[in-house]
Amino acid sequence: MSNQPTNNTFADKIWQLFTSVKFTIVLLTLWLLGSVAGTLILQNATPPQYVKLYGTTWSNVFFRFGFFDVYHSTWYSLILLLLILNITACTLNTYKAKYALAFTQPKRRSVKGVGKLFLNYSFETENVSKHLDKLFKIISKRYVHTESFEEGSVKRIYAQKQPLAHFMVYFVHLSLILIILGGMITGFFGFEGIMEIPEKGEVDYVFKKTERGYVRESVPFSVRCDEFTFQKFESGMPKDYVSKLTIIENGKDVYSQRIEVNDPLAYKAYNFYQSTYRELAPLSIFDKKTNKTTNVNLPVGERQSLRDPAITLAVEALQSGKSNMMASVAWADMSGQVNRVMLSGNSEQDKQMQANNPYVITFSKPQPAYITGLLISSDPGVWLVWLGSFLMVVGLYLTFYSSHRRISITASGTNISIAALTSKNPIAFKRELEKFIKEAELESSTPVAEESK
Amino acid sequence: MISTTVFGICFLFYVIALIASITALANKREVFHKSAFWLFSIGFLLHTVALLIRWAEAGEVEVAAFQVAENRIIEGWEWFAVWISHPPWSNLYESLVCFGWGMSMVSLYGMKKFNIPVLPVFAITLSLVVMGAASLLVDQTISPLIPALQSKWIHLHVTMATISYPAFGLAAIIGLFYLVKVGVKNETFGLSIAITTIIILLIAGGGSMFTSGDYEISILTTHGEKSFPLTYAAQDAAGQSLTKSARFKLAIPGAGIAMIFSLALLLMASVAAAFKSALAKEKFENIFKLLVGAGFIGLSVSLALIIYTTAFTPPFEMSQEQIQSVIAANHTGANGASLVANYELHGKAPFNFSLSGNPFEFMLLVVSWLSLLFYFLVVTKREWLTEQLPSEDILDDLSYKIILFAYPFLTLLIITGAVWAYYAWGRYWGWDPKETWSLITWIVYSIYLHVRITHGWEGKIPAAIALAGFGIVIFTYLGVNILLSGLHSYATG
Repeated sequence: MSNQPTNNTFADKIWQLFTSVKFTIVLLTLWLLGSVAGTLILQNATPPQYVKLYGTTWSNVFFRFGFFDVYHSTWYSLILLLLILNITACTLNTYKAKYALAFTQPKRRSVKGVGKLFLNYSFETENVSKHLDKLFKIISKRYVHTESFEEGSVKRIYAQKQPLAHFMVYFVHLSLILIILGGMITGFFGFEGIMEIPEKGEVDYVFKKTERGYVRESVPFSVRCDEFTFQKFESGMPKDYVSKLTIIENGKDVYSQRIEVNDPLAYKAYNFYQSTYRELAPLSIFDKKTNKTTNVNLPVGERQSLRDPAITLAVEALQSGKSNMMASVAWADMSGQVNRVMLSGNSEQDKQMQANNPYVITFSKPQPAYITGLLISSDPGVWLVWLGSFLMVVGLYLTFYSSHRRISITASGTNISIAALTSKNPIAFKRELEKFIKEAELESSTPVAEESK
Repeated sequence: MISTTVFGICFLFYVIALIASITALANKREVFHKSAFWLFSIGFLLHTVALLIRWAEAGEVEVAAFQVAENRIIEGWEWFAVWISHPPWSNLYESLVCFGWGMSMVSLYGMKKFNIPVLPVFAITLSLVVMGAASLLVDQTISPLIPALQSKWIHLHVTMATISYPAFGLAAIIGLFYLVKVGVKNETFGLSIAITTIIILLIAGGGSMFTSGDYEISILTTHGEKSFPLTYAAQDAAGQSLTKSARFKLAIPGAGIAMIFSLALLLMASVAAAFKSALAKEKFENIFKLLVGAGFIGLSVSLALIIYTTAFTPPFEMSQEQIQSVIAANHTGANGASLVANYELHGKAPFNFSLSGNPFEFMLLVVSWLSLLFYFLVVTKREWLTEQLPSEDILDDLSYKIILFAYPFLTLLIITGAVWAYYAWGRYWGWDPKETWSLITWIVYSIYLHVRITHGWEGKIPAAIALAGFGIVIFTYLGVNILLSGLHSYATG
């Protein structure tokens, strides 16, 4: 040890840093400031947005220091890592002292201390044994471990409860580590994709959000939307949307369930959430030349070219209420001339409006068709997060509402002195002790020295 | 709605209870103390009743909407399940009323349990501020629950918030008492309050205070029985949209000038505090007091003007030219000329000046005004105030215990939110601003817990954190929704 003093002092200094609560506070403050920064600076936007908002210079500075994706930046992870190291070091550092407080000292039946947590009373009385008996009776009712014994001519009572209170804070600290680890597992191994399935359709790929936008990716199963039901309030706000899904693996239907917002489906490692929906205009195109009708469902804003008849269609607007539907449809044939029709939902009226057109477009059914939007995720870290959360709440209660209390009573001659120590909440402990003293009728005798500070 | 009337009566009881508690400080007779407590209790009871009535009213709305959507009449248990499905915590108004309820509950507990004669004044004031903000909201209507809110987790989530947030409020009040008791300098109080007020004035005054020296307030218009803020759309000459929906605001005569006056004086006071070593102690104290006092008068005048204008301006009409010039002034190019080529007003005359136009800005100004008032209470009655308070140790311990009580609920608030998010959106955490700020709140109180056991940092620092922490709680609760965008639905309230 003494061979390399300089090295040792440096290691000592590091150890001191990591075992100090002040360092914890500094780290927590950095964590706080970093988190605030992430809500004030626009996150994960596109370069042009940043240049417009912050200018080129600042955008570069922010980008270099990871401020455009704070919560996934190296420095943010570093703060959390240091916090974990700090917690671990503090635990290792305090374990021995806590062990001594909880087990070694009580074994010696000694109660020593200074400051607010230590209380000290002394009384002079004629009838020592009467008071001592009373004290024993009262204390043993509330303290699981209470013993009465003699050490030579000195009579003693020793009582304690909840010696494990010292260790409860470790559960809280462990829980935070578990939650952070769970979050990291989610970040590294989690999977999240968006799947859009038209009613009656079947899809075996998702779109994953990446830095380059949405990327298509295959999944080892396919999902069919058997039914999509949609209910609206009179105001047009959605009341409920429900998808009946079937999971298909190797060509076989393996599982079926209805899902809605707040009520997902779980299959193997995957969860299927009802996320969004899109309305499609159910259009029917009648070609006057060939007398043929073609049906197509088209979402707003998407263009679709048909082969027969050879026209391109786009729905510019779609509005649907509880029992009506209106749409504005643009179409162009080979000539390139763009035509617009407004569909009112009244098919006779719609046909009349297009009497001079070569194609007649009407709604094929009175209600819109739907695409259901699912979010598919698999999150291998989530159970650690829930375990950590549970442990944290339980740990907090145990930490806050348990305290290791020790009382040592010594009687010699006409003197009874009480020394008491608590690990927490001295005011409540003092109240409890003074109640004991009053119940043992010691109050009438004169206390010699009360509560040494 | 009946619930609104009952909320009004409850508010009245809170006001009378506040008056009684102030009287009790001046006149130490027990009867005032007792009556303050009982009046506040009756107010709280009415508050509870009003919440239940609101629940039933929302139930009727849900049942009606359900029957229309499903095209059938429901009865029996099915009716009951729908009727009870909409507890009063699904929009901003209801959320605030719940928060006020929680605030009153913890205040009553504090009044009953802790023997601090000045506590009722502060606690009741806090309840009144929350209820005042709720009563100013334009949108107090009940609309059926959207799918994301139809979860059982919302109930746990809201319960945790209703317990923890008000408890942090009480801890903050007691933290403030501790700072008074422990002998923090008057100037330190003054400076903190002055800086907070400066920030609030900058937020509440908005851009118009600097460009034209005006304090502008949203104008209300009515449609049927409903009032809502008047908005407009505007395009430039090229047909490009300047705004699709911006609030139509008008200046309150004189209020802006008074605010700038107040802002300038408080800034001067802060600057004076920075250079206080250059002045003799007594001289500095007098100058500082004078500057803050003048700032207080400025703020009082602007508040009085806002209240006067909103209360006494009858509904009015505006000519095309007037409307045009107001909108034109909001969209000017680099050379100062208006960009607006044409506009469309979303609402018809008569128009109304109302405090409901800018409810949160107004309440922020009121809070500033109250804190400045507190500064003068400290300056003039320091000794008396200190005597009213129990010992430092007791105050420190009380504040600590309340935070120990609230912290696990805050933790549960975040956890229930995460579970809900997991079921509704497929992830337990998404770094949405609301989620992040709830984490920030949690970190702040974690810092509090660690600072308090750190040798050399105990005492004033944790008390100051308890006080500032509540500010962060309020920012997480309301500020995030108003200033930052996110997923929480009452953002649009």
